[in-house]
Amino acid sequence: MKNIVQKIYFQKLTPVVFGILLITVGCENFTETELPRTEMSTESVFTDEKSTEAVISGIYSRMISSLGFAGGYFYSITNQAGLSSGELMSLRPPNAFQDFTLTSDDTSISNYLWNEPYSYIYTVNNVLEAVENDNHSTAENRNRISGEAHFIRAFCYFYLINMFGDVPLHLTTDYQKNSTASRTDTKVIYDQIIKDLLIAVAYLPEDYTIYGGERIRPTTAVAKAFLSRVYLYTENWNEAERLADEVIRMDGIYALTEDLNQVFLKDSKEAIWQLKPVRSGLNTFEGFWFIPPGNFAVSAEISDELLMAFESGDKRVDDWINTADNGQFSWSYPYKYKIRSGAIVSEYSVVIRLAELLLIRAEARAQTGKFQESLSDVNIIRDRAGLSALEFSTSEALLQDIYKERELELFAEWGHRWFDLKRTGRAEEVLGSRPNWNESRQLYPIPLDEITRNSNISQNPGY
Amino acid sequence: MQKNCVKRERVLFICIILALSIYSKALFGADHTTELINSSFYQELSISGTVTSDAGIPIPGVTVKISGYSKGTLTDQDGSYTITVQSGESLEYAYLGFQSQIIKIIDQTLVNVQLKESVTDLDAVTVNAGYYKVSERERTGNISSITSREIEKQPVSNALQALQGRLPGINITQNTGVPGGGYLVNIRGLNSISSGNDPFYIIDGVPFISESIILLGNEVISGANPLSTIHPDDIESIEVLKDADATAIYGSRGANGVILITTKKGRTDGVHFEVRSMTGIGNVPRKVSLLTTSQYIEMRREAFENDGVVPDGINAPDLTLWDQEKDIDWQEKLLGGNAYTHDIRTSISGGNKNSQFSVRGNYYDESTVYPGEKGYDRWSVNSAINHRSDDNRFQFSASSLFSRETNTLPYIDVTREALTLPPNAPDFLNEDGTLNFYTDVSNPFVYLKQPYKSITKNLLLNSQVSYELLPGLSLKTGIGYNLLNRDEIQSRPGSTIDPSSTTQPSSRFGKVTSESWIFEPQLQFVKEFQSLRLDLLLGSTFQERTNELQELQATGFSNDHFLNNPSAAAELSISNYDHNQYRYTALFGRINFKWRDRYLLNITGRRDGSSRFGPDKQFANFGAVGMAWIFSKESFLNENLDFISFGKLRGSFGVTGNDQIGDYEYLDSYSPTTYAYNGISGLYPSRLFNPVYGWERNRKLEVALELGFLEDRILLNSAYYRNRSDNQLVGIPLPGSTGFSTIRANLPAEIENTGLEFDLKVTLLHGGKFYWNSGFNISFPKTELLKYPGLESSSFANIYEEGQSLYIKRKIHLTGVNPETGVYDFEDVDGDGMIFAPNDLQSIYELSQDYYGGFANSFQWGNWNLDLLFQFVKQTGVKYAHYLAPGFLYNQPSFVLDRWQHSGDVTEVQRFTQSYTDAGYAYSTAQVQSDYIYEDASFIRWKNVNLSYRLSVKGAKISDIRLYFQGQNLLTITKYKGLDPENQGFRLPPLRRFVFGIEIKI
Repeated sequence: MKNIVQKIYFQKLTPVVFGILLITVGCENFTETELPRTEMSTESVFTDEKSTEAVISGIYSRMISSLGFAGGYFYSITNQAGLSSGELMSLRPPNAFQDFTLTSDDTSISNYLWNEPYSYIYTVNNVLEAVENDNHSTAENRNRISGEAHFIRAFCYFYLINMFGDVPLHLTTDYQKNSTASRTDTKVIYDQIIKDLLIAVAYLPEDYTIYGGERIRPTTAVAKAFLSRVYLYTENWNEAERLADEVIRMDGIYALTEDLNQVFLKDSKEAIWQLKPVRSGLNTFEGFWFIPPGNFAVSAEISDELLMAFESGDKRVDDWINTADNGQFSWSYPYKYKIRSGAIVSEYSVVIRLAELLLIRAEARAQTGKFQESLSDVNIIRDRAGLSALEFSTSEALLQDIYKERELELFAEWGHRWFDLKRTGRAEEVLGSRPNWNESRQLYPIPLDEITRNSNISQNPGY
Repeated sequence: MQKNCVKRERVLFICIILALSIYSKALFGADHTTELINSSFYQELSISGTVTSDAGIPIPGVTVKISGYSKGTLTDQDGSYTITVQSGESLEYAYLGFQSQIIKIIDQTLVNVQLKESVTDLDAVTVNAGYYKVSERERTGNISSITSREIEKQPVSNALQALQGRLPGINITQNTGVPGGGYLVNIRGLNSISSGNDPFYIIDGVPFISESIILLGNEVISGANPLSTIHPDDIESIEVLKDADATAIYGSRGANGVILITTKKGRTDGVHFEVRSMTGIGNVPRKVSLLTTSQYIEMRREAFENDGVVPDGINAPDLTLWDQEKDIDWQEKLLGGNAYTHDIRTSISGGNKNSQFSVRGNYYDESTVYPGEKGYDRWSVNSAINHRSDDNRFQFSASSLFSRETNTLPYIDVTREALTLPPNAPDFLNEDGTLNFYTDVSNPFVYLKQPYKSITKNLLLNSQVSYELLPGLSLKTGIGYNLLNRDEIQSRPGSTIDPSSTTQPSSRFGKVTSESWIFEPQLQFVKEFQSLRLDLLLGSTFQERTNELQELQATGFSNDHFLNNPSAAAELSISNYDHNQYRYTALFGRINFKWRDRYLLNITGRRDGSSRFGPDKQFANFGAVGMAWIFSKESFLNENLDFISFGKLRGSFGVTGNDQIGDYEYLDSYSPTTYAYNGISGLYPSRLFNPVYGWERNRKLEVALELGFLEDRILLNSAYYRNRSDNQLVGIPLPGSTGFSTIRANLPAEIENTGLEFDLKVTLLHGGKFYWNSGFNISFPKTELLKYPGLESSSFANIYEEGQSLYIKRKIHLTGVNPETGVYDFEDVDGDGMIFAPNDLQSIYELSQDYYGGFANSFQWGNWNLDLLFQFVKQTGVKYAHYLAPGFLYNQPSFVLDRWQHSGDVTEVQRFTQSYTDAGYAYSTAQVQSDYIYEDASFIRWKNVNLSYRLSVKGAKISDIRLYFQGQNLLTITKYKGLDPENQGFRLPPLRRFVFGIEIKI
């Protein structure tokens, strides 16, 4: 009797229990899912040359399509630093950059001027770490990628220190290390920038051939041009002159365009490095931002100070400045880029161009006593603008002329005026009468999130 | 990987062997039990009889079952039943509203039973605990529930709203009064710093998506979740599982509590037809007192004067160009409309004791308080069948629910415009309905004319099959499927675009599809030995969910007519695409012992695997032990304290987990950039390299005392809980210089949620013509960050503080208006002469509830029924404070008139300003960085009234007609200055509603 019962239990039970057991045990791998469709693992990105290449082009794509940093739109260095320098005035006041009322929690700083360049820095650090362990690509490709990565890192740090002063210097992707790092002295960062740019000079391609002849990615000359600017900022006049000179002498490749209306075209001979627009229906953001839609006063106008600084007969006033009127008032706006929007792209956003190198060489020469040579550089720029040649009077006057020429030639481009006023110690003199100004306004505030999330980061004085 | 797999299998195998050995021991171990089985095995008796009330009226639908078994039969229309038992077993008779009876069968064949009507019957009330059911009396865990009887008293379109104020330990906040809007649901506080704190939702055994699936409509119904597609009338009951004992069987998904929704099923007593129709009206219950035009102009003029600026056409069109007399009440104009609702519910249900069916069709629509033709509608069809074989060994149930929700709303919630537009703003609309455009002020009719439309479809299928293989041993399988689909269109018609701008008419199309299935084979064994009852459950879960979303941007339409047709656009692009897959598997079990009807032990456990974790961290074990002692069954109590009719002491301890994070987060990855550069498509780093992280762990402890007095006319449940969660799975905020803003990791922090919950139910009057029931519940939650090693040097250093709540906000302290300058002063804590973060962030506010609860009363007098519900919340919230300082080109609340004007004035409000000089700057510091924005947001709300009258119908066809009136959010008592203390800020508040309806039953 007992046995029968047991038998019944066992006969019926066994297959069921084992069934459940099998299903359960057999499916421990059930939790493995298919790989996401929208992303690729970092490891597989860097074991493939094409995707490594895509990481680099991704950076340029992000730069030129960004509303901030290098993009040329409202939140970019071009606009924001332009407003701080007084060359531009907002048509929609109040504006914190113009009024020096920035606060550390302003997202236009954290998102667009801080996080964005650091995101590029993370990316290139990742590329550089991968290149080091790379054993599948050719040395040539490896070096080129490494050169570009070093260049981008230097480029980003240059703007970071010029906006914020001392910033944390990250050379690795180790977020644990990076998130507790303190701020590094700008001098040390400049040393790193120079080191990176020297590697870039060595590794980058000689010419634009591999980019289809378009000047849309860095070459040796781009790195040299940039290095020359860095030497100028660090007052290493001899090196600044030498490198500027090397680029200027690359005859046949670079030349000032005679027609001021052609400087910012995509095949401009004057351009050393341009970013190629990527958003559909748009040329550059500079054009889209500064050129008013209809008769709306939305963006920024050229300040009276800047307008007044031009001599009469300066062709740059006619060719690079335009006016608009909304019925209530009229204003002047930067017109270097002439296309507001349009599907056919004929203008590229210029990052660095020959005119700046001539002015760098002029300044470096003036600082080292080569006054006549310096003067002739300035006069090349003046000549193109339809102005008469200057004569030498004093070295101080010459320097002032060069500064002024930079103001007139490079306005509404990449915050040149703001950085020039700061590096030459003239910020107080020029901006001292502006409301809310004090010495501490020369640096933008470190984003609040950066400080709250990393207790080793201190705020700039005055914020 | 392979090695781990083997190890895991071994652990699993041991688990199963263990469970099996308990099982086989129970079967064959003790001699006397075997004898019991042997002696009774073939002596089956067929018992029949009638069940009547003590008045002698037959009761249909009484559950008659063998003690110790889960299955049984039901009495038919005449109250009669037939069941097969073995001699020596007992029969249990249970019916809602009557005291249960147990009769031991020796050799009887006819058993007639009279059930005594009970005031409150804890045995007859069974609650759904997910994988099993327990009676209210015998549950060892903390499960609160409401049934359709409470839900249908409230004129709500989302059942979550019906839970507000009803249950202890659950805090529900309505985000917006917009139809289809969402709710924030929190069970026993915050357990997690930044992964999800949402409870786990299950509808008829199928996990339901509670996250928002909105792509485009976030400007107007942010936070809405798919639960809005379930009509409250389709719900039979909602159970909320709170403590370890109740939730541990859900393992990693149970940390934040579980909400079980059971839909309505068929009935056993013939065919019934019900129809209910309701129509109602809703509106914004409160208005903020804003400045009138003359006060507004006074403010603006004073602001210009204070700033030393002369108003002109550019800086002050409102003072120079616009009408100075016009006084528009924008709240009336934009939010003053009535939201009409129609609600039609029909159902046919019926069946016999073997098979039951139910088919329900519901329709609901609601217009909005905004001007124009906007609104929401939803229809749903829900059907269910159940079958059980004559011998009760085979049981089958299947149900399907389909609903379709259409929501047409403006592009944004214009509540902000209603509160901030200057009262003398120019005409926004021309006579012919076309729009005027201004650059100085935003035109709310532009948003109102930019439609947002969404269509959500929800299909929920499930079936359960169970077969009793051997007496007491059943094999059960549940299969469920859920498909959610949301289509959205958001358009910018040409007519809403300023003709002088070059912006093109455009539309965005969003599509989200979420699909999930679940398969759960289970084995259940129930056996009763003399005074011991054993209940065993062993099962496994396989669950998969895939989400796909896509957003299409279409620009350049030749005519607004084509805005809904993407192929008519000049330019099309896919602006967003995502696809993810989540897989989850588990083995779970439950062992429940009941000894002498008074000692209960419940052990639950689960081994879980989730695809959201890295390969080595996918599996973990969870479990709980619950115990209860029904001390009222002890003789010492019966003899000495007989006014205590019920007494139970219970407690539980266990571990649950939380995996509410995104999929694939353990992968470090690159994603494609939006634009290609020079023809080469780019990649950008989308996630940091991530060290392995694992489950968030939540250890729950609960002690509770349940008491019944005077034949259970007074029932008091008190519970104390202490939940500690550690291994916090958070996106640790990273400094932006790392290239990322967060990284997912387990944080060595520990959070403690403690609280007391009381739930009192009193039957004040019972019998005769008048009934009065009253219920009161109150919860005192507390959240504390117990420890955080290395908090000072972590990225949370300035956000949290050990020993403080997780809800704290650290802000600069606003000391008041400086009587000399008329500008806000702040406390300079570090004394450096400057006010800036983080050193001056020393004012701490806790944005949470001190206590909350509800008070419900239900009266019945003859054919009249009256229900009242009050809800109360004591909390600190975000103050009603405008973004710009008083004096800018925005209207302000009228309390700003008490402002500083002259040196020496002592006021609450600083001087008016219209620019970012010292005062404007100080206001923005106050608004963004200081504690100025927090205040008491407590309220007492008359939440619900339900008055119904039952018509006596003398006719064969119609059995019942009921007329009723319902009201929701009738009155709110609060000191809060904004529109509503519940959702705070500039969002449409929960509406006040009145509904009239009729219900006919055939």
